[in-house]
Amino acid sequence: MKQVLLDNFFESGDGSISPETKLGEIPDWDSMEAVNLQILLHDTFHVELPLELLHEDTIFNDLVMLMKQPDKIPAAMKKFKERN
Amino acid sequence: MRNAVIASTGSYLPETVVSNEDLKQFPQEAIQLIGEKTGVFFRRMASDKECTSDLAVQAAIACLDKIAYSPEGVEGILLATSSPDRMQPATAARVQHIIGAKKAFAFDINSVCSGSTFGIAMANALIKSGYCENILLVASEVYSKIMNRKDFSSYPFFGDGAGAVLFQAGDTSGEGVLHSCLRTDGRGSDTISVPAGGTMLPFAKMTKTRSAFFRMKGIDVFNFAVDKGSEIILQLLKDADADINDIKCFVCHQANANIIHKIAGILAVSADRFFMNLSSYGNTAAASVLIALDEAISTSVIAKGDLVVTVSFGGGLSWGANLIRI
Repeated sequence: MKQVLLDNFFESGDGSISPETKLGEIPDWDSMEAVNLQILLHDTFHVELPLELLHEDTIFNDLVMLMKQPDKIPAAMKKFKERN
Repeated sequence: MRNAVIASTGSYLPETVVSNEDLKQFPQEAIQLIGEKTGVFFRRMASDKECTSDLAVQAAIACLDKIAYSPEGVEGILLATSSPDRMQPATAARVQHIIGAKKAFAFDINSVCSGSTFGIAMANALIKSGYCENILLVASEVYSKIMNRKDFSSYPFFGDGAGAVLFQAGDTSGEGVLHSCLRTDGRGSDTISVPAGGTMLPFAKMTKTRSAFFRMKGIDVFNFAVDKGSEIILQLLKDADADINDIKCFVCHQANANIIHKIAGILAVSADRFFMNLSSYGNTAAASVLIALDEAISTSVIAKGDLVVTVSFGGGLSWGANLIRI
């Protein structure tokens, strides 16, 4: 998944992603790019992630976990709504 | 004092209307963001058979027919576009041929979304110099064919369309194009671009498909547009010794309603004095100012004798403004 993000959101050679990278650190990240990421994850991994979970503070490692365990998405949404 | 006076205007919007809800390739929960972030609710899309010159021809014909002006009388055609039919030749050449402007020289200018204002300045300069008696300025864009239809950061915001103005030499002091300000800052040349297809990155050398599509850095562009859009209007009025209160209408590049409102706020001008049609047509890049100008005249928002400012900002980065007495 790291390679998918690198290929689609970074120009070659100008980015790196660590488990602790926040989505907001992706170049030119904004609400439109969040939608692009949602589309990309759906098309590539066939997982529907709500936009609320693709905010600038979302950590890459947490994103990977949700992609691997999509049954945890409702709990993540509940936690997000409680915090916001 | 000889200068370019507007003799007629025209525009062409393709028949196919696409609403935000029609964009089924995007998650429906994201659709409301389009209107919120930009004010765009509809756009027109060229058919599979229509290319940039086809739209330009229709706008040119609409402009000339309005005053029954024969294409054989046109001496020069400038076509502002950043989505040409082909890398070469100039898209203007095909327009010249199809409309039958046999006497006219024709070439393209590309200053992306600033194309119209740069084109107005150039048309005025050619006429002022005495080189020609008239210029048909056309701006035409088919961005739907150069964008990734699944890129939410660009595809929903743009539309296809063309506008045209016939400028003629005038000798009446105080009428026509009174002044222009044009600026470029090449440090921002990566901010708005179509990376591949030219000599910098030929298609054969592409490693990522997305390099073939239009892209822009949204937040940077927004801030640039608000900053430079307001600044160039003030510079224009200062250079021309004109009073902002005498401006009947500001015809701004139709990129984003929020940009236009912010520019109005900085200038302390009511947003009502900024003509807007982007909710219906989206951002038509270089064509937006000429389409808006035609519509503002056709709907009597502006009339003969009114003082108008046209302003645009776009790739390059480039920005410009013109002061015109209609």
